[in-house]
Amino acid sequence: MREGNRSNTLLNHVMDNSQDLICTIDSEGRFIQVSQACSQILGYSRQELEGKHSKNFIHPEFRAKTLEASHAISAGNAERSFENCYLNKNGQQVPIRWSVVWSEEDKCFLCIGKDLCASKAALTETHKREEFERILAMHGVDMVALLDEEGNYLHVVGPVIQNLGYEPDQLIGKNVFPLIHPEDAGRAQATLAQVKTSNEPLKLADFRFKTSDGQWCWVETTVSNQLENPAIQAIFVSSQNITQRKRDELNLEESEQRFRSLFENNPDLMVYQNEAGYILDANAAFLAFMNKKKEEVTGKLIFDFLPPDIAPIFRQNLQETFSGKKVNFQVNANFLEQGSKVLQVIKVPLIANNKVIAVHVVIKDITAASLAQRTVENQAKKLNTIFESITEAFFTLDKNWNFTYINQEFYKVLFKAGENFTGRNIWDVFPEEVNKIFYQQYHQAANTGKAVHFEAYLTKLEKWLEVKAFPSEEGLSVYFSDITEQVNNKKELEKLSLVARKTTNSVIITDAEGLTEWVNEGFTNLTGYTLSEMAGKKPGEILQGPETNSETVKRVSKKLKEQIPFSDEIINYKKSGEKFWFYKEITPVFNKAGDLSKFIAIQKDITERKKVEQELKKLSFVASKTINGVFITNAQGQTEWINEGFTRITGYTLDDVSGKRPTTLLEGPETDPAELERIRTKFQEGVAFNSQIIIHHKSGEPLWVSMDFSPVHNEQGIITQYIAIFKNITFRKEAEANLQRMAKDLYARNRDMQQFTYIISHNFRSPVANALGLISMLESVSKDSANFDQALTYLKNSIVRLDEILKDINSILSIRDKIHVLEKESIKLVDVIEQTIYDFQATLDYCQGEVSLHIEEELQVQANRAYMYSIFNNLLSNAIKYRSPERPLQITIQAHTNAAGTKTISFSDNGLGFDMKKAKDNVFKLYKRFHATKEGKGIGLFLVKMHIEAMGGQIQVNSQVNSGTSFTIILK
Amino acid sequence: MINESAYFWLKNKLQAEGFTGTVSSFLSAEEALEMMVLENETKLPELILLDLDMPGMDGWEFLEELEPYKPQVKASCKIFILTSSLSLDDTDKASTNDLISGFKHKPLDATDVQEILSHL
Repeated sequence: MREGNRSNTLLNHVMDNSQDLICTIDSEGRFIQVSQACSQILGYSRQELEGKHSKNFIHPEFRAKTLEASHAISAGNAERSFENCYLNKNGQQVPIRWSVVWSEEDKCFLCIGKDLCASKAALTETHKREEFERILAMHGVDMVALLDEEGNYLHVVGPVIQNLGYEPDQLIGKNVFPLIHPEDAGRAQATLAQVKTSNEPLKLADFRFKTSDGQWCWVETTVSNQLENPAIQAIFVSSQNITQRKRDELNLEESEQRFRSLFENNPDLMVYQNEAGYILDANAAFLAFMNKKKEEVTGKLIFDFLPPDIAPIFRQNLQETFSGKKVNFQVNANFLEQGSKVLQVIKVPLIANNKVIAVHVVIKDITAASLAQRTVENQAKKLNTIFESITEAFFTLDKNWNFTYINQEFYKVLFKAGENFTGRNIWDVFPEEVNKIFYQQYHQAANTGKAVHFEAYLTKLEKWLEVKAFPSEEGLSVYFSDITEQVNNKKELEKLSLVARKTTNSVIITDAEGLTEWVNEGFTNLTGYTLSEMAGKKPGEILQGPETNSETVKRVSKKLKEQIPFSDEIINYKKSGEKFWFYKEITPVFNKAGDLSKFIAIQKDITERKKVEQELKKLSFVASKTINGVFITNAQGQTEWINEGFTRITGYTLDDVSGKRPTTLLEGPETDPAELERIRTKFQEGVAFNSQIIIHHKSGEPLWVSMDFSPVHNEQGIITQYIAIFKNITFRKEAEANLQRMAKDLYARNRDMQQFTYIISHNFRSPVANALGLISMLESVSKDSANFDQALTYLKNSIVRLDEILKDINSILSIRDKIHVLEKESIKLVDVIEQTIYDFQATLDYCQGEVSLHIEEELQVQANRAYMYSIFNNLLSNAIKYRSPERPLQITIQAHTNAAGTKTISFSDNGLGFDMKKAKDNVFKLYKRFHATKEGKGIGLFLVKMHIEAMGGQIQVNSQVNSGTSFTIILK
Repeated sequence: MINESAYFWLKNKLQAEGFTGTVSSFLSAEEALEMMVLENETKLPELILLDLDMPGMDGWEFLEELEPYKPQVKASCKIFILTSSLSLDDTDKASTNDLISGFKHKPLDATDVQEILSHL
């Protein structure tokens, strides 16, 4: 119990006084007990925390981490220390390092928290101090070190590292003296020895210290005895690298020496004076000039040594110099001893701390130079006057090719005013001429010492120059003039003359009077006359001849008098007497005064052209006057021209057809489309061709024409035009048609003749032969015999037969004769057929035949009535005669009107029929029969065909054995 | 033969000139062909007098019908054209047909008959 009380008391003491935050926290995380430090660390009193949940005071970011850590600790498997962050009463972050133990007995955490803020602040303090030291060392001195009494390094601070190349560790323990230059080591050792006996710090002036790379650098060191200082017990050295300063010092000294030497040894007079004008220093040259010693001039006014007339100038200038300006002027001074001098004076202010402290005066005796210059100037002036008076452009070059003089004419010729090349190198001004003619010529002159004379083209200015260059000691003198115009004129003339001489055209030049001065080769080649033959003569008198049109001659001489350019065409004669056509262009030429000086005549032989022209004229006369129609189309077939014949034949004028296709215009209902197509195809083929075609007169009347189309090609072989020539061949065509008709007729008649021959050879001959046979028999048999009577009967039959044939031939011939005079009328077909049927009615009834009629009541045919009866009579009688015994006769007659207006009549039966193969073309032939068993002469169908054809119709037959026969008749 | 009168005098003529065989007459070529047994040469007639101009099948067509049996016909049968035609065409045509032994114009005279009979 006592023990417990004691520990309680102790704990309370700890809780009240501990710098750390001590607390107990239950398993839920609530503060149970908190030490007094909480008010200091967190700003909360114990009462404010105890019983509260610790979570509420933890920085939100650390809550999860804290919870996790406490779980791990309570489970006993983690480190017991961790860091988190609390928020104090003012809301500021307070980082805390915790040591936590879980008490299983008390079911609570025992926690000790250390305020990391406080320890962190302490750390920062140390760092600051180090930094300060560093900066101090860096900026104050270069090296601070502690040495022992022997001079061994104990401690090193500062940028010695950078400047001397050592790491502090490299120096510690080493002795300082081997690092000091042997020449300075003695002084260093003495200083060290001295400082040991003194309490005052000593300075060791400029000595050399070895850098890590073996170089020497200048160092200044303060040494202080701190051996007695118990905290240090060493010799303190503070060193500075003064290499740069040392070098500057040395440089300064050297430069001072240099300037002094410059000053002292300068050949010009040099004085150093102050503002008041007192001489501070003067150089040897000044002293020599003034014939004084240094002592005699220093401290004296400079003005005292100058002639009185120039002293004020010096005084005035001095003031100006002291305002900070450099002054430069020349004076003429008359010295008693030296005489008249030209002095150039330069005064230079000497500025220190923005203030002019003194003035350097440099006086140059330029008397000699000045005189020389004046002489040169005078000479130059004279030269200039001479050069300027040279009317040619002129310039001089020195040996280095620099312009030394350029006269005004130069600029007038080459450049606009205001330019100045003097002093410039000629090849810089004209770089493009380097190695060209000018360059070569000038160099030649300079090298040989002989003058050159040449003409050349100056590219830069596009001018032709004539140049004369004279070499001399000084260089080159060059004269030149612009000859551009002359050169151009010359070239032009050369060209013109070449043209005039060589042109194939003939050229004559006459004087103002028209007398020949010159003729070219072309003229001589053409006419045969040479210049000597022509010279001084009027060209017309020589060239004109009997066929020269006197009107043209008059016209030409009138134009010549008018003195204006003109052209004309004239017949002339060659020397050989040959006639030719001349086309001439005559141009009068005037001199500068505006007076006529010459005529130039350029002529061309146009004989060929004239011939073509005349030929064309004739041709065009032919084309326009021919009775044939002519038209010309372009390549597309559009009409360009027609002649009178065209209009006469077709009725169309040029206005009607111009630009149109003639074929389109002329085609009409009677034009053969196939022939039109052929024309188009031939057009496309681009060949010459003939076409015979029906065209139509403007009135619509058809005309037969024969057209010859010929393509016209240009030089490239491309078709440019078509020429078509046509004539009216209607009469010829009609004659041809007549001829054809006649031939056809003749052919038909010939065929008939053949038929007649056949008839005579077979049908006519047959009864005659029989009769002859029977008669010869009668001669040989007795009158009383049965054979005689029989033969007589047969003889009679044969004669009757002969008679029948004669009758048939008669009727046939009568039909043929009527073909051309046949009377036709409109006949109702139904009437004719019904009448025929009526005639046969008894026979039809007998054989139980039937006729069915399918013909429109109103259908009419243009026909001969008698023929129509005959046709149907024959057809009907045949149908009955050759009916089939196996079936009752059935006849069908139909008729209809065709599209062309013709009528088709079909007549068919169901009779015996015949074999078409065997019948061949004999069906409608005279005396041809196909049924041996039936009576018949073989004339019926022949007559049918003759009748139909006489009326301009046609008939066809179709038949099948034992099936029937069908006739088709077509009538107009 | 085209008609009976021609047959009449022909038959009469043949007999008058001494022909003793049987004479048959046909008024159409078709009829004649029907009566002939072409396959058997022993049953063919000795002599055919053929008219050219007949209704239906004419003389030439008749000859064409005989063409397939040419060997038999040629072996045992003489064919003479007997026509009233004076056409040269027919004469020419007959001369190129080797079935034909001769060409005679109507009416036949005694010389013609003798010549025909001499072929038998």
